[in-house]
Amino acid sequence: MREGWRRRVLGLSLAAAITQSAYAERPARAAEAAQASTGQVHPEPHAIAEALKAADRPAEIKTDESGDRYIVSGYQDRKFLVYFFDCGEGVRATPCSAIQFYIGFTIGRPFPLERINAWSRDYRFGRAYVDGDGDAVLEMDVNFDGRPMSSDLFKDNIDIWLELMSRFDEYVFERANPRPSAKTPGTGKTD
Amino acid sequence: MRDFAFGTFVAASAAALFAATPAQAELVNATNPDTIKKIIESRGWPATLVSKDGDDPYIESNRDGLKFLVLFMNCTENKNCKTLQYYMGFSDAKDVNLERLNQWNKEKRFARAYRDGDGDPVLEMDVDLDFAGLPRENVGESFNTWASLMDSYREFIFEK
Repeated sequence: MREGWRRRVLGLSLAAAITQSAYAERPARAAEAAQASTGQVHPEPHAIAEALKAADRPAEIKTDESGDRYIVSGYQDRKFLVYFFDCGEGVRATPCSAIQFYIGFTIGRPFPLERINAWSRDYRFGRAYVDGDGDAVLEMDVNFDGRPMSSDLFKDNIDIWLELMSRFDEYVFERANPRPSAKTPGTGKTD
Repeated sequence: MRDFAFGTFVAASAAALFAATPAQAELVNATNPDTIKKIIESRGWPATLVSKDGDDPYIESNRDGLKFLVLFMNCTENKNCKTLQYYMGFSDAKDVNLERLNQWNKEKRFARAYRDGDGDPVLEMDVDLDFAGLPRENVGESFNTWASLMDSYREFIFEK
C-alpha cells in the first residue's frame, strides 16, 4: 500500500490521464464558460435535464413505479440514466442531496471481478461493480448537498461522466485494456 | 424521490423555493491547498500539507486512528489543481476477497473500493473542484461523507 501512496502522490492514476485528456479541449470551453459563469444548476430533475440538453445530450424525465423521477439520456448510441437521491417528498419539491449517473452492460456472462477491480484501480470518479445479474455497472455520484452548483462545474461533471462511460464501454467489451503505463511512475500524466 | 404534482407545478414551486438560496455562496476550489487544509482542520482533524518540488501537493490527515490522504490532481506544473482525491488503504487486510469489495461498490455511494497491486484494500473518493469550485459548505460536507465512509469501510473490511 505504501508504494501505492507514493505512486498516487506522483500524480499518476490513469484517471488523472482521463481528465487530463478531457481538459485538452479546455480553452474554447473556458471562453464559453466565462460568459455563462453566473449560471447555476439546482439538484432537481428539471434543472438537471436542462443542463444535459445544454450539453447536447437528450434528457427525458420519467417516473418509476414507486413515483421516483429519473432521467433517460444517452451518448454515442448508449443510454445512460440519472437518478436522484434524498429529494424532498410530498406536494412541495425540495432539492435533492445527490444525483447518480448510471450505465450497465449485459455481456451474457458474469463479468470477471478481476477486471472490474482493475478498472476501479485505474479510473477515478466512477464506481464499478458486477450486479446480481452478472452485468458490469458503472455509477458516478455527484453530491450537491441540496445546494446549487455552478453550470460550469456541472458541465465539467457531465464531461467526466461521458468520457468515463465511453471508456468503460470499450473496457467491458475488451476493445481496450487498462493502460499499464499508468501504473509506472513518471509516465501516467500524458498517456 | 416523489411528488404528487405535474412537472410544471413542481418546476414553479421549486423555483420559488430555490429563490431563497443565497445567490452568492462562497465557492472553494483546489487552487490553494491551504484553503483545503483549513477546512480539514475545521473538522478537528490534523492536516499536514506536503509539497515537494516536482510533485503535486497532498495533505496527510487522520481521524479516529485512520490515516488518509487528500491528493491534489489535474494540476499544471504542480499548481492550480482542479480535482481532489481522498485516499485510504489498509495494509493488514490482504485476505479481503474481490467479491466483498464488489459488494461495497454495489451498495455504497461516493467512494470506490478496490484491491491494489499489493493486495491491500483501498478506498478512494474523487471530488471535482474545477472552475470556481463548490460552496464551502459542500467541501466541508464532502469530508463528513468521507469520514463516515472510512468508518464503514473499516467495519466492512474487518468484520468477520
